[in-house]
Formats: sequence, C-alpha cells, structure tokens
Amino acid sequence: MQVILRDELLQSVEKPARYTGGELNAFVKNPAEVDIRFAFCFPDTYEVGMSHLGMRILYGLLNERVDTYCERVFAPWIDMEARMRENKIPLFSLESREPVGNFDFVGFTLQYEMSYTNVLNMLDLAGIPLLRDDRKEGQPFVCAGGPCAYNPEPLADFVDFFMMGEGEEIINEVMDAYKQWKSEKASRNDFLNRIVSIEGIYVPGFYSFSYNEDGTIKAFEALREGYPTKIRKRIIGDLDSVYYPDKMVVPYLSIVHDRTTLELFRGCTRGCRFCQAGFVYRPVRERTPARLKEMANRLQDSTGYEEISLISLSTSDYSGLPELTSSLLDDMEAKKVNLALPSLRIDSFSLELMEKAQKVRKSGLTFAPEAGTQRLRDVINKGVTQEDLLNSVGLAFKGGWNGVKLYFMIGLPTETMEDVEGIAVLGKKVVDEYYQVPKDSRNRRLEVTISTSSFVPKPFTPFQWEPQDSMDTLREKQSYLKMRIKDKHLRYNWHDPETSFLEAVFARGDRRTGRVLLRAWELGCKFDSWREHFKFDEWMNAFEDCGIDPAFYANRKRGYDEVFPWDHIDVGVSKGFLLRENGRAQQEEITPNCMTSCSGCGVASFGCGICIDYQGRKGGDGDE
Amino acid sequence: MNSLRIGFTRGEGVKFISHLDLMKVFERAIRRSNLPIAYSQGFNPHPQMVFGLPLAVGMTSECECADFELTEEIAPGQFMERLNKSLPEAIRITAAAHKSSKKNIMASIAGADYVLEIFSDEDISFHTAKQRVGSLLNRESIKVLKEAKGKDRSTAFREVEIRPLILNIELEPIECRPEGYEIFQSAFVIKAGFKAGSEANLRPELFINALCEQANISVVASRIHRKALYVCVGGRMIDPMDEAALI
Ligand code: SF4
Ligand code: SF4
Repeated sequence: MQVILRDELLQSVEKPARYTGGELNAFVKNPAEVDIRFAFCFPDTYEVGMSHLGMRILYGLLNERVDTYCERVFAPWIDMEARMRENKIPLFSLESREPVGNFDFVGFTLQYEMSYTNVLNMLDLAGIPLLRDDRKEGQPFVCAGGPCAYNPEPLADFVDFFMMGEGEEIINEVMDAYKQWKSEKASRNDFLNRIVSIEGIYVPGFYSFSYNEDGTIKAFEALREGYPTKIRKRIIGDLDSVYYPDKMVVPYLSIVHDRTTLELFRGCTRGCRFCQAGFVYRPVRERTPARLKEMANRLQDSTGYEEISLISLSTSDYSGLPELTSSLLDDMEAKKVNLALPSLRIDSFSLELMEKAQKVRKSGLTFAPEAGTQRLRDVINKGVTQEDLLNSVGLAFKGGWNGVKLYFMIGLPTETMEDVEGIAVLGKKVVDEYYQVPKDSRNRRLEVTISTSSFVPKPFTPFQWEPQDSMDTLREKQSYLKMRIKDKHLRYNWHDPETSFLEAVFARGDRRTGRVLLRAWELGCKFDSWREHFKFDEWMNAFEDCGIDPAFYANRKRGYDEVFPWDHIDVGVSKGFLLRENGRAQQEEITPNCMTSCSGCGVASFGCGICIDYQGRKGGDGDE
Repeated sequence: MNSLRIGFTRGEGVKFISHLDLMKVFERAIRRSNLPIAYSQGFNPHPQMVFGLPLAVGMTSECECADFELTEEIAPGQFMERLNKSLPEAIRITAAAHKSSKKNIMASIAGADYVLEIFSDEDISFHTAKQRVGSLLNRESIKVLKEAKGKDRSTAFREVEIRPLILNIELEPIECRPEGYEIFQSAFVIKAGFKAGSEANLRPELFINALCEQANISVVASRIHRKALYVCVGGRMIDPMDEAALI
C-alpha cells in the first residue's frame, strides 16, 4: 500500500522534491516480484544522505540482485515530520512510497554520533518498536553499519544486528541467509542465530555486560556457547574487482556533494593518532588508474554531471595520481566536465594540476596542520612541519591564490596554552608569507581563516584512553585564541564545545548510554547536528533522568587495563599497537607512515593492500 | 547559427522541482546525449538554451517550450529522439522544429491555458458554483492581494487588478478524482485562459485566491495543469510551435 501525499501537503513543506523520488537512475522494480525488501535509511536529510558514497554503492549493489529491492529513506525534515504525524502518514521509502514498517530489513548507516536520535525518530515514524526486544515476528529486522558501528553499544538496545566493516560482501551473505530463512518460515531468533556466525555480524542481544563498582566494565559475555566473542570487521581485498555502480542517482534538487564521485582507494597510511578513520579503514588498498578511468567514463555517461571529484581519506597519497589526473583531465574536458580536486598536498606538481583543472576562482585552499606547535604535531603524529606549510602557501600565493583555510583542533592530549598560542602564531606566519610574494604576482585581498574543532577521543585510536577537555577548558582556550588572533587578514571560526562533548560521550559510550538516547529523543531531541535544532539542555536533562554522568564517558582518563565497550570488535589493528602508539605520543615521538615502513599494527593479518609489500621483509603482521 | 525549438511535457514526477533545477536536468541530459549544443564562453560553460514561461513548483504541463542553439545541423526528429532517451521519464519532448526567428521565446509568451482542479471542504453544488463564478466574472474589476517579497526577505502585499488578465473561464464538474482527494466535499474543474508572459501575467494561484475570497468558494486543495502556451505574432495568439512563430 502506497502512502498518499497530496499536493497541498507537499506544497506546504520546504523542498518537497526531497520526498518525491523518481530521480534519474533510481531503481524501479515491482515490489511484488522480489523476495527481499530492504529500506536503506540515512538518519539525516535527503541532501546529506544522498551525498554519501557508501549508500550509493550498497544501493546499487543490492539492486543488482533480482530477488531484492533496495529503496532509500531519509529523515523527513521537521516541517514534513509534523505534517506526516498530523496526517498519520508513516515513514515511507522514496522508490515505492510504501511504509518502511512493511519491509524485511531496515538498515541504517551510522556516520556520526549526533545522528543517533534520528535513528530512533525514524523507527518511531515507521511504527517499528524502538527496542529490539519489543519487535514481533513479521516486523522488520533493524540493522546498522558504518564507521560509528565500530562501537555499537550505545545503539545495542535498538538494533537487531550490526555489520562490521565494508559492506559489499557481508550484505549479500546476509541476504542469502535471509532468503533461505524466509522460505522455511522460521522464527526471528532463528534468523539471528543463522547469521551470528557470519564474519562481521554482531547480534547485541546474544551478549551481555557486567560492571564493576566504579562503573567500568567487568566482563563481556556471550549468552550461549558458540557465539563468537571477537567480531572481526570485513574488508574488500581487491578494489579493482569489487562492485562499483555504473550509474548513480541524479537528484532533482541540489545536494551537499552534487557530483560524480570516484573512490580512489580505501584506508590511509598516515596514522594520525586522533583519527579514527586512519585506523579502522586500514590497510590502504588502491584501485588502478585504468579501472578508475573506466569507472569515471561510465559514470559520466550515465549521470551527465558537470563535475567529477576524486575522493579518499588522503587523496594526494594516491600512487597513481599524476597518471590518473592527466588522463582524466583530457577525457573530462572533452565532455565539458570539471575535475574537482580534493585538498592536495601542495607542491609544484599539484599547483600546476589545480591550475589546469579549476581554471576559475583561486580561493579556498585548505590545510590541516591540526596543532599549532611542532611538539604537539609530533604528539598526534601529524607529519606536517611549519616549513612544509609555509612553503606550500608561499607557492599557492605566488600562483595567485588568496584564500587559505587552516584547520586545527583544540583540546588534544598534552596541549598547553603555548600550543594554543601556536595556532595564532602559525596563522600570522601564513599572512607574513603572503607579503613575501612580490606585489605584482600575488592576488589582492588576502583572507586566512583559522577554524578550530574540539578534540573528541575515539575508539580504536591511540587516544582512546584519553580524557576530553572539559567544556570550560575548551571555552577558555577558544577565548584565548579569539584574543590572540588579531591580524586584519585573519578570521577565526570555532565549534561549540557542547556538541563535541556529546560526541565524546557516545563515541565511547557503553550499552547503558542507550537509555540516555531514548530519553533525549523522548524529550524532543533530533537533528542534533543541525545547530538550530540542537537542544543541549534537554540532553543534560536526559542524563539526569537516567542517572548517568556524562563526564564519566567524556572526561575520564582510562586505565590501560580497562575493558572497553568495543573490545569485542576486531578492526585488525591490535590494542597492543594502539597502546604502544599512546606511549610514543607521550614521548612526542612520531611513527612513520605505511609508505615509509611498516610499524606492525596488526592489520597485515588481512593479507591485502599495502601490508603485502612488507610481508617477508619485516614483522608485518603485528604483535598479537 | 542553428536554432531549434522543442515542446515538452512535465509530468507528476517532476512537478515539485524548481525552474532552476529543471534547467539542471536539461543540462545534464544534454551532456549524456552528446548532442551538438552550443555552450557559453567562460570559466563555467553552460549550454545555450532558453525556456518559455517558468512553471511554478507544484504544477504539471503539456506545453512547455525551450529554444536551443546548436553547433551543427541536426534533424529535429533526431534531436527529439536522442534527448528523450536521456531525459527522465517524467519529461517528454513532444515536438521539435527548426527556428529562424530571432525572437526570444521567454520574451514572446503572451498567454496560457490552465486546467485547475479545485477541492472544497464545503458541499457546493455544481449549479451554485457556476453561479458564484459567473457573478465574479461579471464584475468589471477584481482586485486581489499579491505577495511581493521585499529585498530584506520581508513579505508585503500589494493590491492588483486581475479582471483584464482573465481571458476565459469555464467551470465543469470533475469526472474522476485523483487518489487521496475523495475526502473533500466537492470538486470542480476550471478551464481557464489567462494573459501570461513578461508584460502581463496572471498566476493561477491568484485566481484561486479570488475564488476563495470573492466568489465564496472555499478552495482547500488544488491541482494545476498548464494546457497551452501562446505567443503573440501579428496580433494573433498562436502556438509557439506554429510555423508562423518559428520564422
Ligand atoms: S592523513 Fe591523518 S587525519 Fe587524514 S585520514 Fe589519514 S590518518 Fe586521518
Ligand atoms: S601492518 Fe604495517 S603496512 Fe599494514 S597497515 Fe599496519 S603498519 Fe601499515
């Protein structure tokens, strides 16, 4: 049964095309002719969700199966939600416009912690019981994946099962198991029992936690023998042969990343110690330039987008970049398509490339030194020196660029006021560099923007043991910086510490924090990553109502022997390695990146990507 | 320079996209189709195309039109076929023809026909409705308030005279209601011809406002479809695809 959306309802909300689907390259199937219906849910708006590459890949991949219809679902904006509730319209999918509550699977991708209340709100709008224990036979299975799933516990009470790591293989295995199960008409629990042994599947209902008196975790236990107690992430070894869509949905309204996206590689070699992506996506696996070229041309022919962008964690590290970009530039020029370059490490090669690719506006170059002093950059293993940075901006200014954005973090472990001051000093040096460039070869009107975000300690990083600065300390550091950044060419942006504080709680939250999510949602929290809807006071009320101290999660230094809520998840990087990295951080020692040498993080056990080059040479397979 | 004019329809599937986004849909379809369309010069080249009267968000149409500049000669039929292959299903090109007239389509539009389905939460008989509409039209002057967005995004209202912009009106009973519209007490179809274009233009919503406020027909929902567009050539209102409009 389709839901009915009359014109006057759609006319009364902002951007009705968010809800009407039917875009070019969207899949059209007859729901009656498939065995499995999968609602792929992104817990944010259409514009944000449609910009997400992972969703586009899995949407295409699931729909390649003739037995499955995967449809898209986004969080309706506040105005639409109100109209839906008024008119008793349940959450529906864009493709068939049918209620999500009738699907076989409701799958969420978890990209950031501040989307968790939207997950609950969408379940509620779909009429699906929020708590997994309340779901009945015949109701959908709620599953989740994505980077935040690596610490699944805050959502463990709401999700039937999680999929760890890259989804291309595991999701097909789950669909196959489901088809079999459905034909046998077995129980809900029986299905979960069948998939629990698939590598990468975590069924939270099959495990329990016990706690010590001080509130830390005592033990994580399987409720029955035979359930795996280590859940290992899945990765794709060979990116050239894995599925990549030939066509992507072309939205009718502008979305955040409104262009063709080409994923060059997965993983990152650099190992910045604050960066969760740098550890959980290891090892680096590249696509070949030939394969990428083929992908680019096919996608361009099917979408007609005016721009194509190369994306990866640290794109300038791609080994085939010169080859790829020069041939792509030619192909795309002929098709009247722009090549959008990502933030590149600046050298003469990349400058020339940017010159060719962008032709236009020479503004907006971005750099992320992350910390203001060399000492602190060594602590976080950010292999950028002041000299590198100044050379790069110097080159850019000579090339006619006049806008530079500098990204930093405040609240990093071991940070002192001197380090904070270093941010302002570095900003000033960038301005000075501009004046070194002869007047006739530099562009007028320099603008340097300094942005600081607040450090959030994340699981599976060397800083997972570290406390976050209190909100007061963060504010103090921000006002100090505001005072120190005085040059008329410098602008300063900062993030409110409240959001970072909540992120810190849920990034490292345990199963008990799920109650806070539920309470916060009851108190009206949703779209928490949207400033205008963020209700910090209600969040604090929720903690209080649940008797949970957020500082215990955000601001506490953990002991090295503490059991973490995510210890049963295995991302390949060993805890021993992270511990060693934590020690090196305290010693202000840097660790070389994987391109220079292997430091034995443990990921080599996957036997693919960059690690293979080291095997046989050096202890590439870690220390556990 | 070669020019082509096309006529196209906009169906239910694309009724909620803005005029600007529609242009993007065409731009991308052109890129997919590899048709020899001229691009503007400059850093951000755009295909050279001009659309007729923009359709408001929420309306469907069977009579949109647009002009394209080409870099090489191509048979109109072939152009239509190839572009149709690239366009989403909800947009269909129904006619294409060479155009030698230099007149800009946007500037030439002079009139438009609409089919308005209107729904009321009051039980109004067809007879009553006809009387009420009739007496509204018998007036010499119909003034309605029109929203005008100020520069500071504030909304102001301005009184405008719409009677001379109404060319013809015909009220009919509705034959079959679309799904979801059974809940309304009464429903009618109005076939309307209005002046349209850059010189004088009556938006159908404004006419519906007049029905509500001055003809005592409370319209709580409506569906609007554009049936025809006209250009004025030698004092005659003709179809933009007509020979006389193309040369
Ligand atoms: S370069 Fe550093 S911050 Fe960037 S993705 Fe790699 S590890 Fe993370
Ligand atoms: S095993 Fe070595 S090469 Fe592989 S990701 Fe870890 S540090 Fe890098």
